[in-house]
Amino acid sequence: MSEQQPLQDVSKMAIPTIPSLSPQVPKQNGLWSSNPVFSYLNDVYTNIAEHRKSLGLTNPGTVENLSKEVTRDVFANQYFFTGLRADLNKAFSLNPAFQTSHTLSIGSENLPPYAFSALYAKEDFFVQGNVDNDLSFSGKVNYGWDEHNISKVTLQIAHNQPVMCQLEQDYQANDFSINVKALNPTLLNGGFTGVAVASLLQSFTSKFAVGIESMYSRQALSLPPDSAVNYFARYNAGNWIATAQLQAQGALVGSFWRKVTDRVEAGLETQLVASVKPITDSMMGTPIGYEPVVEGQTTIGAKYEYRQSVFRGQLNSAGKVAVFMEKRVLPTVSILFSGEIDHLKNSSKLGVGLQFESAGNEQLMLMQQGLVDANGNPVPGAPQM
Amino acid sequence: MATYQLSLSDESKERLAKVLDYSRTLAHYGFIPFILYLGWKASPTKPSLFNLLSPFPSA
Repeated sequence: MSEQQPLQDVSKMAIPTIPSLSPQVPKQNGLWSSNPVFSYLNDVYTNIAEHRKSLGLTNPGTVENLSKEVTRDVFANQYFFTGLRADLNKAFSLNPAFQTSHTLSIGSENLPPYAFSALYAKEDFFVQGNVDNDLSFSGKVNYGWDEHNISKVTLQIAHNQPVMCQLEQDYQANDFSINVKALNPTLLNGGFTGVAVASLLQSFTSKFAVGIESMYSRQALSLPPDSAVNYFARYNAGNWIATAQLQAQGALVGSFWRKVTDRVEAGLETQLVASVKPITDSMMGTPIGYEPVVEGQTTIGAKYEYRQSVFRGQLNSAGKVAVFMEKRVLPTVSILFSGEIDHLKNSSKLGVGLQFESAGNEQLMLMQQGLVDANGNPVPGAPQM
Repeated sequence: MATYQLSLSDESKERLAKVLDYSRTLAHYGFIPFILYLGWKASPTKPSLFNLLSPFPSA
């Protein structure tokens, strides 16, 4: 022990690395930061960090939300449904948010006849579960460790089907985002099987960001693993956003979003897919070779937001016209309408729905009807009870 | 190629499969009741189970 004493003393001394420079930046006096090599590295790191800060970069969002403004906000695809449906939402509390929902549907292609879902959300914690009449279950838990780190778990369990479990970690720094996720990862079969995806999106100027995503998947140990790399770019100029994606399967996707006026947004997405398709003999039906195929599709859409209603319409180059309308007829009742006409195939789809908001207690009920505000005070101009 | 083999005996593998199966069942049937419990605890008027599950307004 006595031999170690001098070493500790030396390490506790602050040794100036650049003698001419004074005053010294106060440093932690551990061995790791005071020795010349690490001190130099720390200086370099600090310089780079300061330079990055001086560029005024902002967080570019995540790769998952790259073209969110077009594909999720403007386009109707996500909201589209067919048949008749009724949503009965019931709110019990607003902060933390707690809500249950019953969805009934008839004649739909993808909605189950009955589904129940529950949602609970706090500032840093979000949990949601959904179960339908076949007892198929899907659930989601998000937890924010701090303002930069979010962990997400997604579960899907259905009878007689393998469990889907996705673990995800989001790290959003001042000028870049990293996302790591794994789908059904396991080491039990004698090696890694499942899907692992890692992505990085980095801002280069305050408007321009570039990203890369790589994926590794192995369904079973007996099968060879698959890997893929995708590239992304995004330019956000405030009232318009352009994005581009180059996917490993040979697809090039470009999107453009524009805020036309305060209440109107327009979006355009175009896809070019290059693939290799087998050619089959027209007589025998046996494969005789391969041919490269390039296919393209463009969708253009607009969203109009009014005080009591939202309209979305879109048109694509395959001859499909679709609309989705949501109108609030009473403070607690909305009507949904979705329709699609495929001009090339001469087919159409129609969906009509009703959405009811109800409350689990009296104050929330008055609030939903616009009679009191969030603090329980009467809203000026509201009809008196 | 180096494969990272997880060396487990057959017995512990069986036990692990059982644990995974139990946790699957637990998540399947326990997740929604867990959310309902969290929400019940957080809402100011502790609603009854019937109120929690009925779609109709309960005020």
